[in-house]
Amino acid sequence: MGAAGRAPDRRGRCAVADLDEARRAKDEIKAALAGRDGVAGVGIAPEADGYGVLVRVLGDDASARRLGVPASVHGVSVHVRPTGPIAARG
Amino acid sequence: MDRDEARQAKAHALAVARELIEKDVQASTSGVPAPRLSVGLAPRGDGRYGVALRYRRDVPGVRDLARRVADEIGEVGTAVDVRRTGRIRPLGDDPGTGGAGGPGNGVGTEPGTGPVTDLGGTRIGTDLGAATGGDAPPVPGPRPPVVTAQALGETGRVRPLRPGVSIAHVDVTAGTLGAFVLVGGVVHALSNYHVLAGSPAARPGDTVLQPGPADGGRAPRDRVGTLARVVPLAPGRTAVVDAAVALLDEQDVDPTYPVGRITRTARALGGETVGKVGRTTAVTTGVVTAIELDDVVVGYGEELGNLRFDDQIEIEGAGRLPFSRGGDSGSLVYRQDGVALGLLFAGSETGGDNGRGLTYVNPIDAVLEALDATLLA
Repeated sequence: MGAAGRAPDRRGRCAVADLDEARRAKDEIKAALAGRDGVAGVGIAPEADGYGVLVRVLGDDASARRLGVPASVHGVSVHVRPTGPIAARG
Repeated sequence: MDRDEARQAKAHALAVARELIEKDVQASTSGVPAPRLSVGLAPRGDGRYGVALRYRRDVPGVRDLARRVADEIGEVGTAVDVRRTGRIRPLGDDPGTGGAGGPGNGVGTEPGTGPVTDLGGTRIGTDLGAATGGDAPPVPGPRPPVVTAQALGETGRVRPLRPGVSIAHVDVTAGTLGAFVLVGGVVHALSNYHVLAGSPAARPGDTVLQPGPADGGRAPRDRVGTLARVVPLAPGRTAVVDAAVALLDEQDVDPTYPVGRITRTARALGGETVGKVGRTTAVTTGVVTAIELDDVVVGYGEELGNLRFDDQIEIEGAGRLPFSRGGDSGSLVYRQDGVALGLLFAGSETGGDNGRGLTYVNPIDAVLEALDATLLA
């Protein structure tokens, strides 16, 4: 059973999303964040039983919180996590 | 370390410091003034060198920065000499501040801080000042390879060639030979564009060395082949792969190291345990933490700037270790069952659940398709 169209439950838990649902949620988040400073990547993260969306943000946990990304999109979990600057590993 | 090794370690220390500063600036909303940290070489009296870190005692935050840089570079065995200084002035400006450093040492120090020789030390506070001042932040360049003496992988000359050894274009430092591939039925070495070409100025036929120049490789003695085919990178254009192949002079190679022949490929699904063998960190294990990452912004230095990559794979090192470090670029990333997933090309020094940085990998099928290549069966 998919997660699309379902809100998180009362404890804030999202339903399990499959890969296609996570891809659609990723595309929405990616469009919403287009052009935002500090976003280092938007992708799909494996979860225990399915997939969520991962947003990498330059900085730390506070930077991640400041981005204001919702915790879920159409029932798909969205995780915002910090990273340092990414450079080619010459 | 000898002086050349120490200079490489110094470049590594500078890169780590810049990254920590950038992270702190991004986390700050108060416009904290630039810490003043100088990085140079510290002679040890036996003809060997360490890395010198010098910080001003009257500047908030810089002591902590120096400690964090020392921890990071000391972890790989670099000898680090950390000392505080008073205000640094040109010698002769105020003879009273020359202190124990004595004449000719390049900086004035407080009495009791001992002799300091800063051989080409670089002040990085200026970079931070630019970042806090609202100007465009400096574009990070390719992470320089960890110095030869501290690399855990193969930095020496190896024949026949095998995966995981140091390799590079004659004008590049060093990266990793990832795998052997067939292009038009002929054996080539697979690595990154920024390892085997390094610049838009590179041309097919340019010399490729094993080991790479940063590991002592010299032309023509260590030539193993020539640049044959690249997937060009260009400013402003979103890329999927950072890849190139070198035509090998000698077709006799050992493709079996370290897990046997890798001939099959697959698309990463997330959560897989993966491995790689690289010039710097040798064999490491990690976990795929994300797939299909788009808009990954990767620093390539002033010439190419920050480039965006789509459809990337993210990996975090297992346990408390990083999956890769500078010099591991070009490594083939494979699953435990010996199926190739990607070509390692970038990473961060911080981030991830273990705080040891994240590694970014091009999907292997996209790499092979772009080069019209197949893994050597």
